[in-house]
Amino acid sequence: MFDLGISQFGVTSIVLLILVLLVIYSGAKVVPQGYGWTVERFGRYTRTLPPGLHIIIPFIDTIGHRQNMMEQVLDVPPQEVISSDNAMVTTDAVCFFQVLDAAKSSYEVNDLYRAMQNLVMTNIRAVVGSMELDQMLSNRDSINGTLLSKVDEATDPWGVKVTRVEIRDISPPQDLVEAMANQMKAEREKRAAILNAEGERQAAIAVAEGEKQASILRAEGQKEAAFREAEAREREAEAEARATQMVSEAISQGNPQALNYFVAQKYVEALQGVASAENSKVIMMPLEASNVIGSVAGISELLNATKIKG
Amino acid sequence: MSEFFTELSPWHWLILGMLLLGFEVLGTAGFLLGIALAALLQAVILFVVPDMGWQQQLLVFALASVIFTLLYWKLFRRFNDRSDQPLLNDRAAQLVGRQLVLAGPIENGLGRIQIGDTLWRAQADENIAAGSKIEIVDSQGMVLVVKQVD
Repeated sequence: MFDLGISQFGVTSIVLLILVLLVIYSGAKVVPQGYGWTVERFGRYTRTLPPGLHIIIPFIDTIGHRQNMMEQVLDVPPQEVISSDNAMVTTDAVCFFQVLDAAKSSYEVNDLYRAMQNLVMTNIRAVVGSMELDQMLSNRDSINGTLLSKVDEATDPWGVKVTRVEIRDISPPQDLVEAMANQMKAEREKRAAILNAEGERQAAIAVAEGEKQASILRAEGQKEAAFREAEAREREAEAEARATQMVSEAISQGNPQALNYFVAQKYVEALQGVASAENSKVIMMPLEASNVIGSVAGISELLNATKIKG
Repeated sequence: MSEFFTELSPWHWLILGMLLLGFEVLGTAGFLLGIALAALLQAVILFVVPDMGWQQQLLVFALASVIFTLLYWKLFRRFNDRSDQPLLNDRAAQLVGRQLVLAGPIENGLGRIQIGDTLWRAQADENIAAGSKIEIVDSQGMVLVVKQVD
């Protein structure tokens, strides 16, 4: 034995203490919430330890896998996929899954994460590759649904429930994106042009409509005016006629000399107007001065007539 | 070496016990708790019986460690089942008691039902036509056991 000044009994007790510590260390297991630990008895799976404190039999039982039973996120790395219309797009996805059966996910599949990653990747290729680019970009929901059912089906034997698969990004190559942008721009421009033309057409129609209305109104106005003028002329004629009638009646009933008086008066007034014109020094006399004289004669006649009467 | 062992006093055990408890608090998940208690017990014994050989002290300490660990496990094992959410992380078990309308039929005792946006495999004793109301009565691993309700 080693000569450390310790008896064999002492050595035994020290070794025993160490052994006890090891035994306790290997026997008492506290499984944290969210995990399931598989127990192997001589290498063969026997049970899964739920969260909490457990004692496993040292030497016989060992902990096999410490399986995470929480929902986990699996990042699916970007990959290039060729769509059915031969566009090369880069897609990446994210997959949410939860281990429901710790035993199956520990022993039915060797490397669960790698297996799932490859499964999702190949399924993305299959699903997305059977679509055209436009479909791909607009039908994410259906892609996700299809992927989910396929991946879920495939991972069933591994004790895994896939809750969600989401295509995160679908990015076509740069030149395609530019082409798409151009297409969209052209589409918008087409719409703008159509709208412009529509506007102009509407405007032209409105203008023509206005002009039509205006000319109708104008014609109506002229017609009305003509009617009124005609009426006025009629009325004037009537008035003239009546005046003439009245004058002639007055003449027929009275003395015709009254007429002479009026004429004379008018002549004199006209002469006055001519004489008082400022723009000319020339005093215009009526061409037929004799008429004035005549009217003067008429006046003298008037005077005579009054004398004879008187 | 042997001087170290022969001069073991109750205080040494007390200090050891408290150190172990301290380490346990830092998180060794129950592994040191029984051992710490055993060390404290050994300190008490040594106060009572001062002329105990150090080999016996170690033996008592070792055995007491095992016994305390087992006791501690017995005592706290029932706490394993005590939780205000016993079904945490157990998706399938959480669904028990849920009622829903069947979208697709269950034929030959097997079918698929959709809950939320995940599909579950369901089994039933009889064939159930689509559109009928079902209740989830049990979960067996990843398969839900359903029965028709009227």
